[in-house]
Amino acid sequence: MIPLLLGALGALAFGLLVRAVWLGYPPPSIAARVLTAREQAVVAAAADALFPGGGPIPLSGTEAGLVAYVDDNLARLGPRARWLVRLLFVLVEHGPWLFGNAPSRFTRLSLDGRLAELARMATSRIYFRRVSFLSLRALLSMGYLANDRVAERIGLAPCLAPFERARAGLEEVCS
Amino acid sequence: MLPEPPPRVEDEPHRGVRVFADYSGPLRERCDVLVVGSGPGGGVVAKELAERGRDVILLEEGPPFGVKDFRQEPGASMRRTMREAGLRSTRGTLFIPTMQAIGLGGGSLINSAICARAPSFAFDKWAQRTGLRAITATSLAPHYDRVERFLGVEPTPLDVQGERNLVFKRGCEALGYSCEPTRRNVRGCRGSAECFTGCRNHAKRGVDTSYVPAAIRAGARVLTSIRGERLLSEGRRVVGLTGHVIEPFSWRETHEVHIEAKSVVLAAGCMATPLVLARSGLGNERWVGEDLGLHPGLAIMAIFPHAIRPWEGATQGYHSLHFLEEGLKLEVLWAPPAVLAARLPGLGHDYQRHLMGYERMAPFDVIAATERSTGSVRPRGKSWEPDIRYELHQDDVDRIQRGVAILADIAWAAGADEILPGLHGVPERLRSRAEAQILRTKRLHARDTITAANHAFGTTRMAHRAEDGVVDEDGRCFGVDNLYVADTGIFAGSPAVNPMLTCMALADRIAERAHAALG
Repeated sequence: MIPLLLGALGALAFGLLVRAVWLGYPPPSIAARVLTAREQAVVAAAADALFPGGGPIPLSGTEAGLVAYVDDNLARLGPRARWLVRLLFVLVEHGPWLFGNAPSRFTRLSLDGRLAELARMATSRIYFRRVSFLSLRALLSMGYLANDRVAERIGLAPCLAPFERARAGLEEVCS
Repeated sequence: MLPEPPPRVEDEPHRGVRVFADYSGPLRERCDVLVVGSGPGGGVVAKELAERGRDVILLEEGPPFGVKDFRQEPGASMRRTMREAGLRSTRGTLFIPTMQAIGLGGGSLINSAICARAPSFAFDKWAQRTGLRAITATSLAPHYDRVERFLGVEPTPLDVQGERNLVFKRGCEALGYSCEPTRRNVRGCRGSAECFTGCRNHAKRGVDTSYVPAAIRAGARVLTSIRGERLLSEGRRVVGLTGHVIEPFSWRETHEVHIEAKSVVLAAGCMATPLVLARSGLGNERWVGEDLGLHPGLAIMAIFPHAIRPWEGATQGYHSLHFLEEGLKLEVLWAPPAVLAARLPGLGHDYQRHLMGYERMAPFDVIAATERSTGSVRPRGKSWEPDIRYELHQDDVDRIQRGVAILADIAWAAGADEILPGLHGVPERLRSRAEAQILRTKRLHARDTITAANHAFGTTRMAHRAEDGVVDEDGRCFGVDNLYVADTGIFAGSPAVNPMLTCMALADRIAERAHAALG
């Protein structure tokens, strides 16, 4: 009886582990070219943690189209670079339990939990964790600032001839 | 919102250039001189030899870029113009991103157009390292002159500097450090700060818009989207090269290429040339791919109380050579805002607040001529991308750290409110000179830094004796009578400053010597 009970508990624990690690992802948010549903969830979770809505820049990461941006970027990368980016998503997703910070994967954490996890990555004593964080932030920042509304909010106003405009007394920003 | 002023398109580099769409099957060609690589080295050699009457073919793996082909979004731009989509990195002590271009004009397409002559002490060090006797500041002076004259190199004008460059100038002047406007291969700069993603004003006189058109006018054939892979040799002579047509942006191999040549000049860059030599079984095995040098660089972000509008003004319009003999070159930096944003501190709304303060930021950087760090470039499996190793020695980290501390001094002297050092183990924000003392007191290690290095050299180094390098003082490969190398790989050490102009001056000299040797 006891061995049976232990076996059942073991099976239950294994099932919960499988569910915690591999199952329960939301359906894909976009019709992606290369991003899987899991990867979309990781990108969306990281994007909204790094760029939450309703703050100094109202647009959140997902509202700024980061999932589509990353998908497009990944689709155009060579196989090796694409593999590296995908590995990055795996490290981000499973970092919380792999490094013993939370018994959960990244996409199951609350917003505060995700922010705490990203902060731990950013300041980790492990060099590879810090590099992973920087890589993630670089990729997502490029996508976020590629959004016109975000760029406008920040005041980014690239211009082909800024000083000629200034000399002419034109105050309007360039497109 | 007003419409943008139209780009000043004068001379699209496509004219006379064969592109991917022109190849419908296997390609066979024949020439006197085959130049592999259209960057600063190859472009010069192709023009100079074509103008001396040689039948020249110039190969380039990437496509040509005209104004309409540039993208301002950095992800798209890097995927199109840079090898490995801009994700190339060294391994070793730390990951050091290093960006190399793939496109007609090579690095000149996307660099900041800085043209600086290497100081005489740099050549003295080269002589100490590999016994060079013929390469000195004096012997190269006429070649520097020729290149500068042809490119129209001039100091960056004051009226396009913009506040980002001018605060650096004011900071240096307040401290008594010498500083100067960068000399650049630019004509009619409008201060758009877009050097990194390609100049839409067509103001940069990159190799694709200067030397390559001149080479074509002199009769050279320019074939883009072709990767030179293996040299064919008979005894002590090369007789040609094989390779593939490469589809732009997918980088897929299509047709085979076979070119017969009486002489070959490799100028594919210090990351690619050693791979061609190694896979062809040519060159001194002891040194091919070895002695890779970089200029590791670190940046700080200075925040000012007034508007800087860092996206306006010459990309790198001012620099200080005050500490050059200590191996430090101090510069104003610019890149697309999204690229620099990744190193701002904070997360979530805090990170967004930093982004909102972008208008008041000015990035400054230091690049170091390292003394004890070294690296190598080797084939990575069957790939034509290199395996790059680089060991950043602690002595050189100390040197860079000193440069960062000086940059902070310059920022305070220029009136900065705050500095974002971007270093692990250092506070994210330094709000006073006293707080910034940590940049001098804490000993940084390589992995505490976010180091990048886009100046690379030295994998086919030039030497006086065959046992000390890959090419002789004329740029000719030891042991092969008609094979030359003319890219930064031949540097026998750091040039102390941006390498492009020295590469071009050496290429000008090599073209002269090669022409004489060809008879």
